[in-house]
Amino acid sequence: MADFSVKNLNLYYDGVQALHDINIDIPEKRIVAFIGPSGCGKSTFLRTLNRMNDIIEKCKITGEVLLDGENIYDKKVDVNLLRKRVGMVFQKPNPCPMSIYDNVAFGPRTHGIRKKAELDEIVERSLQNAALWEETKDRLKKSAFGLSGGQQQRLCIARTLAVEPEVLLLDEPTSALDPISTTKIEELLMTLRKTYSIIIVTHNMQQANRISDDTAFFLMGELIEFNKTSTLFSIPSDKRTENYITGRFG
Amino acid sequence: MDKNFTTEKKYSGGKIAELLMNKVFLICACFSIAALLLITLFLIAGGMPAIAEIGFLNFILGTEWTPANRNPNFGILPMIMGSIYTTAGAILIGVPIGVFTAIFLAFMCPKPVYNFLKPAIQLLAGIPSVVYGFFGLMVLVPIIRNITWLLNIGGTGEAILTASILLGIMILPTIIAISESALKAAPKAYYEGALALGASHTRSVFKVVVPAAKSGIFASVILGVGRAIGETMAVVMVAGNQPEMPLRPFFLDGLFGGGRTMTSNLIMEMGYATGLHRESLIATGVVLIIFILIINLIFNFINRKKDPGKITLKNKMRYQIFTKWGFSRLFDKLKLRVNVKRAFIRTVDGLLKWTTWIFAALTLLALLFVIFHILSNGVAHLTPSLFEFVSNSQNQSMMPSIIATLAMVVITLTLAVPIGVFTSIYLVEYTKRGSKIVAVIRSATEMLAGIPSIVYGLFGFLFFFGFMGLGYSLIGGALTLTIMILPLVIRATEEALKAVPDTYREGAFALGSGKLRAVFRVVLPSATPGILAGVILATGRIVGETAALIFTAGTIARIPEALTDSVRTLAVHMWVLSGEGHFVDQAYATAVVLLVMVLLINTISALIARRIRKGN
Repeated sequence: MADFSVKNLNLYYDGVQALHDINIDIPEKRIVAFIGPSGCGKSTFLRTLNRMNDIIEKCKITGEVLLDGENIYDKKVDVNLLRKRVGMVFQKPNPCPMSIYDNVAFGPRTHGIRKKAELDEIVERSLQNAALWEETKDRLKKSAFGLSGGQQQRLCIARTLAVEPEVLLLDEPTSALDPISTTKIEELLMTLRKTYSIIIVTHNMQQANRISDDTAFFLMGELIEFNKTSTLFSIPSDKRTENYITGRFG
Repeated sequence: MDKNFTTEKKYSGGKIAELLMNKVFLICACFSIAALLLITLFLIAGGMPAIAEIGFLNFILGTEWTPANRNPNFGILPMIMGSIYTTAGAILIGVPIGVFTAIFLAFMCPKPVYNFLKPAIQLLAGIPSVVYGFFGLMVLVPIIRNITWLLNIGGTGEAILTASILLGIMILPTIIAISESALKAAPKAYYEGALALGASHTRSVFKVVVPAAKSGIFASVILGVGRAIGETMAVVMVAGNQPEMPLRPFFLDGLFGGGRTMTSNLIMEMGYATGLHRESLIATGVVLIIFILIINLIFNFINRKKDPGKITLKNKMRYQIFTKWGFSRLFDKLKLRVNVKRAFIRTVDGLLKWTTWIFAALTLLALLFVIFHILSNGVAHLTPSLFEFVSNSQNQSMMPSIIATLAMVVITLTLAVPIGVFTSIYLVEYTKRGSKIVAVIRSATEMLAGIPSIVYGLFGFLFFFGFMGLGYSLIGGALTLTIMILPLVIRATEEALKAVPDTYREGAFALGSGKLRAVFRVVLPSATPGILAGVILATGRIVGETAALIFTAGTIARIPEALTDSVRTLAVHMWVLSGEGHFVDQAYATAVVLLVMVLLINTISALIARRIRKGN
């Protein structure tokens, strides 16, 4: 199980409110897309789901984010274990300055796996799941910086898969990539949805339309509408959603 | 349910390590503050009784320093004046040459020349002060002596002027480096605006860019003053050291007469002074620190006031006056004299341009002269006997000193690098921006960086030698140097850590890594080259240091067998040899080894730094 239930979430950066009273239930094993114009809070909201906002100074959060019924902002929560369950891929590929192998093995090692055979197996499986194995199996010990941008992003996905998360958060994962790499990543996400819950922030409405099951539209830090993707793009219930998807602003 | 992420893992090993290391980092970060407090405490406690007994005014305004008399006098005004005169002389000589060289580097220098001159000036900064002092003793002193004879005023050549020239050379790297970056930071728009009005390159640089970079250049001068007033070894070797009021400094007999600085006073008498004499020497150290403190405050004030790149109202007005009532307008009014005026401007242009080239050449010449002189007189004396394991009065072998130097480097780095790196980790990774503790640690580090090495020596002598009862010892010296190089390590590590992109950290956190693991596995490895460059630079400082070691590690030339043994590092060996006068050849040979070591170390550091810059 891995479904999020967010209740009355407010977020402030240094006193300025960035998210207003978000309420949303995100079901598991689907691809959910967050869309909206720049600065609407969709990335900020995504980062509250695995508490990446913790590392930003002067960021204050009220309300509840329940993962399978447990509030992830509870004091008892070990944030590192939470992030193991809820993995994240960033807008710009950010492999660490080490070999391809070590990048993928970093997560499992962090969580206590030391045996070489076991690590080998995890690395191979993760790279295969991220559709990167064929391209990298002969250069695992080479620096990750030798890969192309698209390959680096798939490496970051593989790295995230290696810690066996239940939820994958992706923050505009293809916006820094060329169309061919974008297609590869989209195809990859379609195969991953069977095993993972995927939440993707995207600027690209076609992308949301192509790959997601549900779509949430954010504007000025508010959740305007959340519905089945087909419904939201054909018969939006809110005027503002309609204006946005028909290209009147944003 | 094993996927639960709460409670049961709360006290995992990782968490305990995390909490523990957080404390370790904090403790290391407090080390600088503690060191600064200890230094202040020991100097004040040691010096206050003297000031109380002699009377503050009698002490700093007294003109008699006769500690050996039956009725001793302890007035340090001669030394204060000595410090002020030598420093003023150094500024008069070093600032024009340094600033013009900086202008040359920033605006006039052809690329191939730059690639040679810039590292050469960095080398100038790396030469140990005892080598400068020896160079001054062997080269400048005879020259000045000959001049005094020619002028028929008599003198030994050991004079305020000699010290000023030497210090002038020594402060060049500081002035050049800071002025150059200030000049390069001045807005390009000023320069382009001037060019667009038809002013020549030279005129645009001197009339527009240099005034815009004025505060940065002034800051470089202030730092130069700090460096000159704190210098010990080079001054004590050439200034004559008479504890008398320097006579009429602006007349020939004053210029060519000797004098003693506060720093020389410490190094010459601290070893044997007792009672009130000793206390008044410590008080001299306090006065020296107060001077340095004032200088640092001025520097910080200038630096804070504005960054040179900013367009302030004053600069803006200057710019507008320049553009609106530029030369053309002026010339219109003075139609007849246009040609004359233009010719005049061209001449001034030419003069400035030539001055720039000549002063830059002087800088290079000074460096080449020092290095060439040492090498040409020293290499021939590098006999195998100088590398034997036993050193005695027949054979001044430098082998024990080489080994002592290596031991000193290893021990000092073992202490200083972890403390320094952990401090920086705490500052960069574990604190919030604008936090109070960061500000306090940072200013403590800055102050430590400004303290002259003789004061470290004095503190080490009081604290490690005396209070801790270590006597003259390898470990006492290493502990003193640890505090001394700590600011260097902290600064280099901080820069390196800050240069690591945040995305690396985010990547590690998003995989569920704790902070500690992210820092040690991801951030530190990426920052290693930068840290290494700083550590190597610190090694250069240790190898070249003299003043801080004479009263902490001592001068016994034996291979150390225990941490508590007194040792003589190579730089101290050099000082002892040149002081005795019988071993000039051996001193030259030692200078060669010292020079080669330090130059090698600095080159490696510069190469690493350059690679990092290219890598980005």
